[in-house]
Amino acid sequence: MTRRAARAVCLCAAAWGAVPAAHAQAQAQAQALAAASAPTAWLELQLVGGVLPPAQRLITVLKGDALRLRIRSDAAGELHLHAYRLSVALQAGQPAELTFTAHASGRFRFEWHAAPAQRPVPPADHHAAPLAVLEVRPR
Amino acid sequence: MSGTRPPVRRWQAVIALPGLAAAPCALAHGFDERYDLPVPLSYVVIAACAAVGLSFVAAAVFARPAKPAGPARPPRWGLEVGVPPGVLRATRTAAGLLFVLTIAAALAGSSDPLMNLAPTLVWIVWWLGGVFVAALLCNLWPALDPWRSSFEVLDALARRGGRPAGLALGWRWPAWLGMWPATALLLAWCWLEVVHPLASSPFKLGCAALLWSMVNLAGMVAFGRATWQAHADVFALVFSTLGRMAPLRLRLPGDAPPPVQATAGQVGFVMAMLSTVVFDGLHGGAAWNAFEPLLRAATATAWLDTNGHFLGTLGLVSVWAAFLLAYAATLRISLAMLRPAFPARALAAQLAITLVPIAAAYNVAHNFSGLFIQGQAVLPLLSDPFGWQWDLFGTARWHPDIGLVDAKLTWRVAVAAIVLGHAAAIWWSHRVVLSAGVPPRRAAWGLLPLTLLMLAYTALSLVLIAEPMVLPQGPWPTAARTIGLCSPMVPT
Repeated sequence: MTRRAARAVCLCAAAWGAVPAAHAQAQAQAQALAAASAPTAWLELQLVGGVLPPAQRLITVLKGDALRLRIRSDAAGELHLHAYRLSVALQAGQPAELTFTAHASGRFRFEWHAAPAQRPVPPADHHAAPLAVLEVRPR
Repeated sequence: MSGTRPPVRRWQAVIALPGLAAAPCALAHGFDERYDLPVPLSYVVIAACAAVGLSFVAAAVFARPAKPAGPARPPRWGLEVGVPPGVLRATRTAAGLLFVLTIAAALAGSSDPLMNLAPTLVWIVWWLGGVFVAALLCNLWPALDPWRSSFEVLDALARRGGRPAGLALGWRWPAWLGMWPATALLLAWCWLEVVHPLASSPFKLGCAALLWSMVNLAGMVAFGRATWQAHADVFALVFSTLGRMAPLRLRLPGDAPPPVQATAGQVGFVMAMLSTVVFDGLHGGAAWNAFEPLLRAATATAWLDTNGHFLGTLGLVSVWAAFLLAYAATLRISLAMLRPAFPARALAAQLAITLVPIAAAYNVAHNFSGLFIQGQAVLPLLSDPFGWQWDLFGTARWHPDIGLVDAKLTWRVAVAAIVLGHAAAIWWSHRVVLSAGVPPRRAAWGLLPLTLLMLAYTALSLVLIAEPMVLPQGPWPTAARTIGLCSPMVPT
């Protein structure tokens, strides 16, 4: 009995190891495919006082979509998409670009971190309303 | 400034993240973020239909006198797995070391919950992972429990040192108290997890763990290890209760099987297991936006609530009380219809246990992606438990793959778990009633009220994962919720 259980545990452990590897491969393929086929979606974001107009606070795309964000802000700071580990630094009035493929589905938050000079004390609350929400729907 | 930026480097994360630590957790847990998309309506409709259909199939199957009535004891299943003393010693030593490391990291390590091992290990790996493993595979906690092993080591030393009775003072646990202390502690634990921002402070978490260690060991000394763990040790009790539905059971040397007789407060405890997960879903999701004003209006106590904790606490307790009252009332009707051959109280406690699959299912539905996405963070954190830029195992720079669990997979797992949990609860309750000597036809009719209540719980869990009540109160307008980009596009 114990031996059978041990074998089952070993099998599970092997499967556990194999899943992420297989997944990473599949994901790389999907990304390559998306990069080759999906048209790049252009998105213009204009921050005023660290906020976006209400209509731009939800960005909904499909998994695999290529995104190209052109961002402009009236104040310096950094825009983060923490889950995707993306960030872009902005100078006041100068446009910056953020290009990426929406490879993971889910609901993710864009955060705005004002540059120290502009930052009110205490620092921005991550659980307050995010700058925008990116919803990546599965295909 | 143009083109793709490389991923945030570690030092940048260090600079950017302390904001998280200071954030009061108004939504979700203190330090992790849920990436879940709401489950689409079609999944919910299909699951609800499946649940209703399964309930009727179950009723029809069990109404036939196919099963002879068994002896009046709850059915038990699961393969028993013996644990050799050597393996047990190894697992307990490893768990003990990990426990010490976690406490040390919590107290001395980084105050940033994402850079410190303690929050992820406690809330995600141990608590969520423990619940998953205990319900779906086997309750491993008795082989790991650092409090239990430290008590047993001290106990053995005391015996060797000339106290033949060991450490335990052998106080009697009052029968009326039953499992109520564990119930209160479970609600308190959920409060820490969901309402209070303690989760986001490793230091406070470490203090809470030390405090609980003292209480836990004192309780074991006063009442004896087994008595204490069966009535007040909330973690041992949660894992052992979930372990009753697991396919495997550990058999440790000198361990007694879980008590068969009714314990006061057992129904309250199982209801707390159910309601705390429901409350977590409610509080973490957009549904809380709809629920909170209701609660506020009903209590007219806005002036009491300076930080949102009061309403959170009230919500937590009232969801539990509502679950308990609904269950108690339904159970009365069912018991009156069932007329079991042995005391109704014993049957009531056994029937309460049959709701455990629903609690486990809702846990799976609610936390599946969290466990597998946030849980990955434990790999880099084990290499750098204190957040001091160590790299013990070479995994410190490894980053969680947020695409590991696709949203579609999460939806399917969530919906399947809820339907299967519902079916398992119905099957189990029929088995319990049939073994209590109730004739099959009467069992099917008598369980109808309870089956309807389970359907209500199932519907509620489905509604909560589907978040149909996303209100424009949130930071984004519902009108913008369309597939495709909802902002002016610039042609390339």
